[in-house]
Amino acid sequence: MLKKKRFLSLSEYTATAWLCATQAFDGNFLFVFAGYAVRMVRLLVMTAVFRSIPDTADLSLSQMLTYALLSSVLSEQLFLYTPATTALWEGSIINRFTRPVPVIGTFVAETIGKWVPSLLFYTLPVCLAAPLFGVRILPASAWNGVLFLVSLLLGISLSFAVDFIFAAFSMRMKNGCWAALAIRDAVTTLLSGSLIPFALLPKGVAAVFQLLPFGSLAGAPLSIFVGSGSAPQLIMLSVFWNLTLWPVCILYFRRSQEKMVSFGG
Amino acid sequence: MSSILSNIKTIFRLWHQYAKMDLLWLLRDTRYCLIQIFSDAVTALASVSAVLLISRKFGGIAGMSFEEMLFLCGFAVLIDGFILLFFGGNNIAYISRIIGRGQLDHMLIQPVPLWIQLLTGGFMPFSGSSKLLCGIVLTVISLRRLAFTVTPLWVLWLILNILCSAAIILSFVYVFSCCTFYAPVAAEEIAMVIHDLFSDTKTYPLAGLTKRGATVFCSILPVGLAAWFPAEMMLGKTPAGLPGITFYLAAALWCAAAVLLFRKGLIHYGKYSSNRYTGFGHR
Repeated sequence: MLKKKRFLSLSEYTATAWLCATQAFDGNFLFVFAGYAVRMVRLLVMTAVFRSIPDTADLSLSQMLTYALLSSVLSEQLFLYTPATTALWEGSIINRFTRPVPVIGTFVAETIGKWVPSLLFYTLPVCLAAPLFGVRILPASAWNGVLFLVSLLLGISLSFAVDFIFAAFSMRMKNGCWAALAIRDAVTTLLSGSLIPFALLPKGVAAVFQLLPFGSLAGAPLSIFVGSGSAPQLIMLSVFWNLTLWPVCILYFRRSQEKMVSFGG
Repeated sequence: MSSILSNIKTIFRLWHQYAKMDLLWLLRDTRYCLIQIFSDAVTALASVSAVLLISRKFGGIAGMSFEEMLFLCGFAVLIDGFILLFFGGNNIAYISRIIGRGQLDHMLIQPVPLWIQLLTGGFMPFSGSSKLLCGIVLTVISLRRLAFTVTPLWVLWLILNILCSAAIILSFVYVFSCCTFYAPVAAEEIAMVIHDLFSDTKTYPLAGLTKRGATVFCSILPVGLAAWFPAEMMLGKTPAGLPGITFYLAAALWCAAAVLLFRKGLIHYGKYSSNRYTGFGHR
């Protein structure tokens, strides 16, 4: 009975993810493709910036370009958003509470489903085209590749926890939820290392950023991939933040949902 | 002549009204207004921190010293601040939302020309001032560190360049937003994405690009024109080997393109409107 329930639950998550994967182009398809174009332009700008950084940097140009490319193609995974805050603002969050699956699980499934079009229409073509532009898309070593996958999964898990903590915070902010999102955006971009490798920042600043939970979201997996930074140390740090933030996230989300007020926007 | 004067009067009268409404928001809903102001300031400072930290470490990047980078970042935040202050309210800077939701109808029935409404409707001098203040502070610090002699004429040139940069960004956004006249659902949020194109990229120097790349980024894809080109120009350099007039020419051309396409779109809207408008809201 328990097994059947678990299976059913899993199939419901899969169905939700599939639904979200296929509905990406239902409405705002121009918005979606414009988003890919913007990511491409940003990647070109970043490569231009990295090409102009002096040779004395701790990362080689090849490592920097790989970092920028990977950061761009995996941006939705390294810097993820669940629909939680938007749903809160729009009032559609109430529908999730009427479904026979946990709310957090539904949001996770929706987010993963929404990645599919981006992985097919941006990540794949850009990765295939990378060698044409002289950018290496292979990890520093096979072992780095394996550790990168572990770190990426830990980073995604942590990213979900951070997103739900901010969503719970937004519930308490009521009308100020977009301000909370803007602060989260700004802080995460800077502290996660999704745009600039920590190795390019002043030593003290880089060390502090790396230790913060945000550092495990993008900086850790990308640094492991290009072969900079101590992989075991970065993975241990990610595990630590996952073990610390997930209980906080679940507890805070549960408490905050009792204070939720949403009129729709 | 009298109609020009009357339009100018209307513009100032509307700015006054929007300023009053913004002040009322600050006074009546102080907590949320202050949160918004704080979040804008954090966003502004975070957006320039990464590039400033890199340039601090290497003593500058792409041929620009740390102080020059500080000036570039200050200028970029000034432009963001200017756009937020004058066009941040009521989705004026995100015009595709207004068009896509059929809310242009609300504007078309007003007894004021549409261009005046677009020019004044986003004015938020209180809640939208934090980015501009951050930009002013960063620019003043950078100019002091550069030991730059600031004359009244140079300040006027700075203001002209801010106006041109803002015009390029908004025109680019409006050009793409014109798709919404023809595809209201598909392009409703396109303005947000196009704005996003400039959000962090404009703080980076583009000297690392090839000549062809720099030309593209300073013309049809005006990321370089948003802040880097005018900032270099004001520092007495020749960005991408292009003459300074390129910047003003590009601003004029992008404005002309936006006006032309918007008018064309309006004619289409006049015939078909937007099928998304409902009595209780837009969706």
